[in-house]
Amino acid sequence: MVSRESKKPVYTAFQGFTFVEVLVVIVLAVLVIGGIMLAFTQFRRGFTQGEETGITLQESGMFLARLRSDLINAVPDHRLPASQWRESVKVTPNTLSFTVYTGESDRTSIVEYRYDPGNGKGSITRSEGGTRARKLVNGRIASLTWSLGSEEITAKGTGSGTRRLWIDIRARFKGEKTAGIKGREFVLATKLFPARLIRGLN
Amino acid sequence: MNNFLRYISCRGVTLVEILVAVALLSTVMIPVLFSFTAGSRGLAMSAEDLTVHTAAIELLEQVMAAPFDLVPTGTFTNDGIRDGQPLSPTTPLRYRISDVPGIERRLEIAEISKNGRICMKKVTVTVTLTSGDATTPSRSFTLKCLLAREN
Repeated sequence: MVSRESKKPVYTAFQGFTFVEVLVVIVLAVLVIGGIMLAFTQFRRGFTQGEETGITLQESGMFLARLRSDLINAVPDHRLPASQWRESVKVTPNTLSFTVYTGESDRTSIVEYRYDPGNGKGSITRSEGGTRARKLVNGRIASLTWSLGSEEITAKGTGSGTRRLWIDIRARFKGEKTAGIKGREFVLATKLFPARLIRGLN
Repeated sequence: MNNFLRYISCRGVTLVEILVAVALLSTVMIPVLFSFTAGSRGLAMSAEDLTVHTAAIELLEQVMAAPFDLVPTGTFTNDGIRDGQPLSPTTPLRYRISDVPGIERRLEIAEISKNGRICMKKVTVTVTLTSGDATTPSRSFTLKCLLAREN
C-alpha cells in the first residue's frame, strides 16, 4: 500500500503478522504462561503444605492440652487396693485410661484415649464414661508410643514413701490431606505428671 | 497527524518502558513473596513454640507434683538437668526428662518466707531454643509457679 502524502510505503495496523512474529509471540506467551502456572502451582502446593502443617499443629496441641486437662482432674481409683497404685493409670499400646472427677455430675468417670495406628495415618479418639467419643487427631500421626513410668522413693518425713507416676509420650505427627502433599513433620516427646493424682496416692 | 498516530500505534515498546514495567512488577511481587516466606516461617516458629512450651511444662509439672519438703532450692542449669539425675544431692527426687534436641533448660527454685516460716517456693522454668542459626536470635520461654506448703 502506498500513501498519497509521502509516496512511501507505510505499514498500517492491517498488514498482519509474519510467521516469525507469530512464532515469537507464541514462544513468549508459552514462557510467560508456563512461568505463571509454575509459580501458581508452587504457591498452591506451599499453601496446602502450610495449611496441613497448621492443622497438624493445632490437633496435636489440642490433644496434649486435652490430655493434660484430664490429668489435672485425675483421681485414684478407690476400688483398687493400695498396693496396686500403679494401676491408677492403665496403659496399653493402643489405649490410655484413668479415672477423673467430673464437676458436672459430682462423681467420677473413666476417660479413655484410643490410638488407631491407621497404617501410618493414625488417629486419637477420646471418650468419657464409655460415651461421647470424639476424634482429637484425625489421620495425622505417623507413629505414637505411650507408656507409664512410676517410682516409689523413701524419704524422711514421708512415712509410706513418695509415689510418683507419669505418662511418657512420644509421637511423630505428619499431615497428608492431599496425596503427595505432606505437611511439615515434627516430633513431640514429653512426660505428663498428674499432680492431683500423685498427691492422692501419697 | 494521521501518520503520526499510526506510528504511535505501531512503534512497539522501548527497553526503558520494559525495564520500568519489570521494576513495577517486581515491586508488587516482592512483598507477596515475602508474605509467603513469613507465613512459612511463622508455622515453623509455632512448631518450635509447641516443643519449647511442652518441655517447660514437663519440667514444671514434675516439680509441682513433688512433696514440698523434697523440692530443693537453688539454680539448676541445663548440664545438670538430665533424665534420671537427682535434682540435688539433698533430695531423692530425680529428673524425668524427655530427650528433646535443640533446647536448653534452666530451673530456679526460691523460698518465700512469712513470719520466719517457709510457706511457698517460687519455681521458674526457662527453656531456650538453641537450634536457630546465627542470624536469628535464640528465643526463650519462661513459666513461673508457686508451690505452697500444705501442712
